[in-house]
Amino acid sequence: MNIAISVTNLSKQFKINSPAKRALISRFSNIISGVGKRKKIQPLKHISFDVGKGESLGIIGKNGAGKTTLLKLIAGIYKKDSGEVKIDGKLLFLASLANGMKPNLSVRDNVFLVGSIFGLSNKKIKRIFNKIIEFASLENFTDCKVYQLSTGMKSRLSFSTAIHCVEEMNPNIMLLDEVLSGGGGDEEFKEKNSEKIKEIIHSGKTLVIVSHGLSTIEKLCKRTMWLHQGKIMKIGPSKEVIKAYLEFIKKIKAKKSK
Amino acid sequence: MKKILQTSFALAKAGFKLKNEGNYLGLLWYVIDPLMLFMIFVLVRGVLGKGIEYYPIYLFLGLIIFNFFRKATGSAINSMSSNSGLITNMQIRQETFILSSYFQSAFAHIFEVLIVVVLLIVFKLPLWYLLFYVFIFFVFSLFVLGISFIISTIAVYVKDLLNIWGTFTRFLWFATPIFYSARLELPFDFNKYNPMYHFIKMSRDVIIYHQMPEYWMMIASVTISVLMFFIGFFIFNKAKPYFAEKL
Repeated sequence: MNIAISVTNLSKQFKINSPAKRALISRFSNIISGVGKRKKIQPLKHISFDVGKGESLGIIGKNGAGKTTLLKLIAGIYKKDSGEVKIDGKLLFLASLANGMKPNLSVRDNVFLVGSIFGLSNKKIKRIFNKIIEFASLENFTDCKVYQLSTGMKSRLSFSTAIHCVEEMNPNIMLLDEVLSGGGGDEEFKEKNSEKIKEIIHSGKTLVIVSHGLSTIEKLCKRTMWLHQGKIMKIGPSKEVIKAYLEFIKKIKAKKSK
Repeated sequence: MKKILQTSFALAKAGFKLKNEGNYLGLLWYVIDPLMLFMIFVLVRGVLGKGIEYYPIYLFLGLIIFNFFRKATGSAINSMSSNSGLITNMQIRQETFILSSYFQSAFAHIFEVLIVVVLLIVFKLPLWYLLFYVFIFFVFSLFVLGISFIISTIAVYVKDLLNIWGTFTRFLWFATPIFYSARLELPFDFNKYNPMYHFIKMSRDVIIYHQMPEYWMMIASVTISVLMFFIGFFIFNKAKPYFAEKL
């Protein structure tokens, strides 16, 4: 099988400010300097896995398990400490869909701005502009300022812009970090956008999906990886992994209630 | 490369539009600020501008060249932290934001140069010497971009620089002969080591006095600007993979 993403022995360490116990002098100096003591945390420890071309892999795990860090390392947003990441194809990392919108600019300007942040040329954005507006059903609002739109309209606009830009870019590999929840908007729009997502997803792309929506993962991914404290707990068929994960959570809950 | 330019141009355009959004005077604000300062100094010219030929143009050129430097570097130094959302969540080249702050300041500079044109017409000076300014501005841009790369890198690690830079540029503003004569006797020859002085001096020589700048000055500024640009670019490129986790 052709491999789209191959990760071997990947590790990452962060230095973060820690509010740990401090000596009096350092506490005193902290008032002046504002830079606290540093603590090292390791969100990822020796991770290895492969994703085949056209395959979709789900990643689940508790908050802080290292899911987002893993995606950002694959996308090259974070620099890896050690290990290897091999990518075959055009890769797109997608986190929040509301990125880059400026409330004081008009809808039209915002579409062009976000489009160019995605790296599309003006020509290409012009080509998809009408589709974006139509999909978000904002035909009468193209010259309104974004802050004047209702919350639902805003999320429709940002979703529509992002999804059409992604479609235009046409990546082979997509890393999706909690973007499948669909955002706000009414039921009609939700249905429309989940169809659009399916359309893009089912066009033979390689997918890595991070989500807390276990049912979404089960629906979309054949294989799932469960991360816990920076290590792979289990990787395999989605049903089995999700089952094991749910049992694990139950156990923790039971422990706590004792 | 083309992609970076396109994106940074679009960001600059958005920033430009945002700045004037909802203002009654709109675009005029770009020139009102230097014009006000200009007025003040023209009013007190008797004290400061004694014996300077074409003092208003002399003054205004100094003001806008320094203004460009201050604006471009000032917004570049902030550009990493103010765009942290994009840097940490999208695959976007970090250089984009440096370039977009440069473009934004360069747009504004064009408006200011238009006033220079007006002044030149008022004083009945020929306009075509302004063409040489295009070359000077190009070299100056390399210098400004180099500085922008360096300070924006440092500012990611040492946030204090944001405060220091403002004070530093204010100090530099007074230390550079913008509103007073360059021939003023100073305790030591600071001008010699002040790149801003050289860029301003060259521009004035060419545009107002129609003199070829001294050769050593031209060679020195081109060398320093190119060096600064590549050093800055090198430092920025070394550091940028770590930006996302530091912001």
